[in-house]
Amino acid sequence: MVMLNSFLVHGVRMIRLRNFALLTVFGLHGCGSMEQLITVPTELDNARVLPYQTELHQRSVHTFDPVQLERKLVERHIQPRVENIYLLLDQTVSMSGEYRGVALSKYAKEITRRLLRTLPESTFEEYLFLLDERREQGSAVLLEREQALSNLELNSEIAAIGSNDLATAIDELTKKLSEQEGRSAIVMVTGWEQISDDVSNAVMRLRQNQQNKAGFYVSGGFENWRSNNDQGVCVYVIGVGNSMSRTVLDGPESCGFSTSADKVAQPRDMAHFVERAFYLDPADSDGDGIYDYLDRCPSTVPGKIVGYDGCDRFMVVRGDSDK
Amino acid sequence: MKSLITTFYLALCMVGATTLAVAEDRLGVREQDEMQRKLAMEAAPNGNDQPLAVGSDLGVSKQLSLAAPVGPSTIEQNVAEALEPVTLDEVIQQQTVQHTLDQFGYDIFSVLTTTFAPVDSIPVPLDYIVGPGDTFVVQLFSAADVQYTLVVSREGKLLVPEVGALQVAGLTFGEAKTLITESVNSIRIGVKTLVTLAELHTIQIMIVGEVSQPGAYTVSGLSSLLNALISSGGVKRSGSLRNIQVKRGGQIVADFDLYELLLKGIDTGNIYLRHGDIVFVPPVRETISIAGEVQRPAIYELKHEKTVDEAIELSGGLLATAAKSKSQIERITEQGSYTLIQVDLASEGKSTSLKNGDLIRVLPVLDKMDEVVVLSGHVLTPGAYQWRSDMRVSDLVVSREHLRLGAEFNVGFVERENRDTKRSEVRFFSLGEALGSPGNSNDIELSPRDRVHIFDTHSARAAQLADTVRKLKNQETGTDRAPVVALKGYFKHGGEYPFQPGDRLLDLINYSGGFRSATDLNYTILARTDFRTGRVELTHLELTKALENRIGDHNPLLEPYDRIYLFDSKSNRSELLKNEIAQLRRQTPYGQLAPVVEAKGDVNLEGVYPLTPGMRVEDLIVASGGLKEEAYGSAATLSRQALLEGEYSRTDLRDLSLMKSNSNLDDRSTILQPYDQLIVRRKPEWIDTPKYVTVEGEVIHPGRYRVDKRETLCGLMTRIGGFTEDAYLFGTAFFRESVRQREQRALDRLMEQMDDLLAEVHMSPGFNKAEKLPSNQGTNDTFQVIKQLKPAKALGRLVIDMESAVVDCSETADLVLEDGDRIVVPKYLDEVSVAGQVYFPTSHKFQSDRAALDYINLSGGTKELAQREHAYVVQANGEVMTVRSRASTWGWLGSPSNVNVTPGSTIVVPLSVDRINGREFTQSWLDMFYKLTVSVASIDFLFTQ
Repeated sequence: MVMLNSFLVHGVRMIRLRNFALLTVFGLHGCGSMEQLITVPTELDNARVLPYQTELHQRSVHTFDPVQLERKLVERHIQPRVENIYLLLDQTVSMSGEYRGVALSKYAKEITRRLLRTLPESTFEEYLFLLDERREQGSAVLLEREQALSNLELNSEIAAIGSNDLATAIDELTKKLSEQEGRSAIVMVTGWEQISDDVSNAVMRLRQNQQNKAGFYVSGGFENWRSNNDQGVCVYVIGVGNSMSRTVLDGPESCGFSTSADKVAQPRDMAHFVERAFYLDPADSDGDGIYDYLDRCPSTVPGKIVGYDGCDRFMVVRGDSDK
Repeated sequence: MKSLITTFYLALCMVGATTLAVAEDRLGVREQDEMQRKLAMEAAPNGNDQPLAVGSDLGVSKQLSLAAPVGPSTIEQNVAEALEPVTLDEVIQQQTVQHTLDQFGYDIFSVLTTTFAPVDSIPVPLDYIVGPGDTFVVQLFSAADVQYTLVVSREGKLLVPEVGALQVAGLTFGEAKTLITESVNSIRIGVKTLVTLAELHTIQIMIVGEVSQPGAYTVSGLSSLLNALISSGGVKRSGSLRNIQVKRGGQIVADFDLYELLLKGIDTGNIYLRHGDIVFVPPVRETISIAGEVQRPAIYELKHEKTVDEAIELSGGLLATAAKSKSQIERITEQGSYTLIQVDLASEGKSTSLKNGDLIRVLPVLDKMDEVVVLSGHVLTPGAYQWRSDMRVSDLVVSREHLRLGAEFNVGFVERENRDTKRSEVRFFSLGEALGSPGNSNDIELSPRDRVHIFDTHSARAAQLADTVRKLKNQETGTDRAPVVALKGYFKHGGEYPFQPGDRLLDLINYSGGFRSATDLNYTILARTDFRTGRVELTHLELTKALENRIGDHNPLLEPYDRIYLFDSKSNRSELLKNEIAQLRRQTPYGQLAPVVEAKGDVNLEGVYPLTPGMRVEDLIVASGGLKEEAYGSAATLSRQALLEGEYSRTDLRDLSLMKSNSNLDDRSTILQPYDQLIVRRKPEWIDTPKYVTVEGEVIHPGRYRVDKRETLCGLMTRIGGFTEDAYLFGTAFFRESVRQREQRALDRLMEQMDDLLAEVHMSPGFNKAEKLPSNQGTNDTFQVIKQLKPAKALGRLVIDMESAVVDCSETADLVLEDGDRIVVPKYLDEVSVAGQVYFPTSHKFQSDRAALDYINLSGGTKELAQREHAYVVQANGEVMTVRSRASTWGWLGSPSNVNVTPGSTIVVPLSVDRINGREFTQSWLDMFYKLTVSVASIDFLFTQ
């Protein structure tokens, strides 16, 4: 049963023999020099995408060179948004999958390490919680940066919430936060699938708790709710795995956002994440809409129209210097 | 202007030339006849009875035709210019007055023809000197009349019969006449004597010197100096016209000045020539030239003229347009170069002496109107008016009577020439104020050569201002730029406007005709180009604030070349700002982002907007015309383009609340950065258009009802008050637009497939075709069926169970209503129709104990062509049931069995398509069609009852 399916392509007759996975090309007689020979791999099934270069990736882990944010922050008058940062590193069994040839837990750990290395020194109080059901339940401790880093790298004993459940961990955190002074940020480094309904409910409880702690009603009614000292809590998610970058935790009413680990893995991206998450926009002390670091007239009277230099737009009489 | 007049004149001249030529022809002929008659009459008493033959080459007629039509004279030109409407335009005056000058007087020789004929014909004057060769005619009247023709002999004697020889040569004609008369009378008493000269003698003269043809000439004895000169071809241009000498016997007997003749008509010195005279024309000596505004600009020969005034006199005097104070003399100095002497002709003309070779240049007066003001625009009497000191606008526009209907009272402008700086300036004023209370600040004091322009309310102003704007732009310098602003967008009369120093934004809006209704007072863009760097900077102004505080920042002082953009609430702003935004992008230096932001989603005007300094999210919302009503204020997305280390671009998405303010969160006071995008979403479950449902038929209140988003059939029916007693709930027809469209699409698709199928049947070769399609009859039938099917329109009927839906609102039967749903509740029908291939298609009274087959049998049974096993019932609620359907009966497979029939049903027995076309699948297609269309037909049938 050989079906001949013949057709002409630029004067070259190709005959395909279906059952033999063989392609032969004949130069058409009288057609000059257009003689070609195409070789086809005999085992087509072998052709596949090469696996992710694990070695290369792991090498880059060690060459992470964090961007020094301090100078920019000082130059641009950028103030921190929060005072405390709680890192929630998920190392549970559910993180045992692979992504790009690297174990998810390892990926998460590496991202946390990079985040810690990028955070400017002695600005925030940093707490690291390891979520690992294989460990004993303990209490959270304040970690020095170096200690945290070394802990991560050495994979030794560190403070762990002995829970296999992210939601429970957040509830634990809620308790801790209720005694905490100042604004706080929670960074969850976990897999995307971990953000379940339970987790979002736990986060909601956390937020309510924070608001009740700090806020008060001015004269009744929801619209008049004022939070005291802006002591809300910002919840950030760094998701490991596919490139999804939004979770149910995100919303305009609440501080914090989600991003994927891939998006923050590189030094400048991590720096950008740190800047966005833990720092406010550059300060604008006179409220003219021009950041202080660009403002050449830093005390503009309210209501004045300013130029890009922050100075009174219509004050300067142009052409004076010409005369 | 001047050139226009010239062209006009040229055209006139060409027309005139042709008509004139015709007239001349006639004139010449008449002249010739007249002259002939005149000459004959003159000759007769002289005894010269032979009339003069006047040839066609007569000098006179030639001369006439030579007189070519000339252009308008200088005076005519000047007057023509003055007749034009008065403008304040200045014309630059060149000092070249004439390009060429001719020597005066010489053309007298070029025009006259040389002929001796006229000399012969003139009467002999009494001082004519008789010489040998003259012929006398002596007539004696007595008893017998005698006539003698006598010739003077060479000795000069005249031999008169009976009298003897008389010495006449050397005598004048008068003396000779007296001598002859007396001599005859002394011999014969009583005889009357008449003496005339018949033929004259000729003399020979010499014409020498600067003449065109010097030499000896034989001319008539009656020739004068001028005759001789003319007949010799005249004086050369190098010869003097003022010192023509006649020498006789070594003595100068005459010194002829042709200028005396030409300028004053005095011909002393134009003596009669005698035999042997020598006419001598010496070379011209001193000449001067006069050019410009005089009657006869030419080169003149000087004789005894010494002063400029006398020279001007030679040229016929000054024209009225001569600027006396500005005349110049170009003179050759002793050192051999040219120099210029300024002469005031009014005072210094007499005292300034002339020198050989002078060129006197009389310049025209300035072509410029002074001491006038011009009124232009929307007035009844535009034009120039005399300027008086202390004149004001209200003196020029005396009353409202002078204004045309629709004149603008809020604004008018004065275009002024600043006499010190030589710059045009513009002053705006309020005409209403000026007329209402003369003398106030709006009633501008006018200067000479001001132009007052009155606008009207309706026509565009840019065109009226274009001239002024052009002037202002032309006169700008690097440091002093033209005070011109461009008003773009939603202005009443946009375009380029001049402004006066100190004008602010609102002033310009006033100049442009004021605010239009629906102007967006919250968003105005001022685009200003930094003159030195060329960078454009846009500023967001709020007119509401400008109106509150007229000297505030929002009503800024304008600078040259500002652009103001005003917007309404509808039109596309980004489009209007396109050029400015493009410039913003262009001028962005490397490493920065262009100050451009974008609003998307449920804002009134989506688009790209400039990032003005200090712009916040709320400003962008204002720029984009505000949020739409359906916009979701609690959450919008701000997409930010972050530039990492100036090289890597990242996009941040921030959720922000447009309603609440919390410094810990992003909100509407967030400062925007270049390339920010604000994306506003729609409110959840926003109802764009209200939903309406029509209820017809047997309900208590039929009509159109508005339904809520999730309102159901049951809810609506309960709400509207239920059904009438006649309502047949089972037969309720429920029509839905979306269903109809779906059905229609299916129908159309089927129809196309049907067409293809038929075409295939016809085209495809097959065996036994003849048997399949006997004698083409079947084919035609099939076509007919399809033709009938073609116009089939889907109804969009949805089969519902109204009873259970309404009675207990059961979830299975109830359905959510959509916009455009139509519910028709029919009257109760107690009949059953049978249609199709039965012998007698008709309707039958419904009886509960009858089934489908019973009705078919009642209609006479199925016909030969019927397809009995395919018969079906269209129930009143729209359901279609095959009669042989297994679910409906307890009959056996394949055989027609009884189906329960409800009141209002139609039982259809289809045509056997097999009989039309032998092909099995064609038949199945057609069957499907039948079911579809017959159900449609049956419903029609149902509601037309």
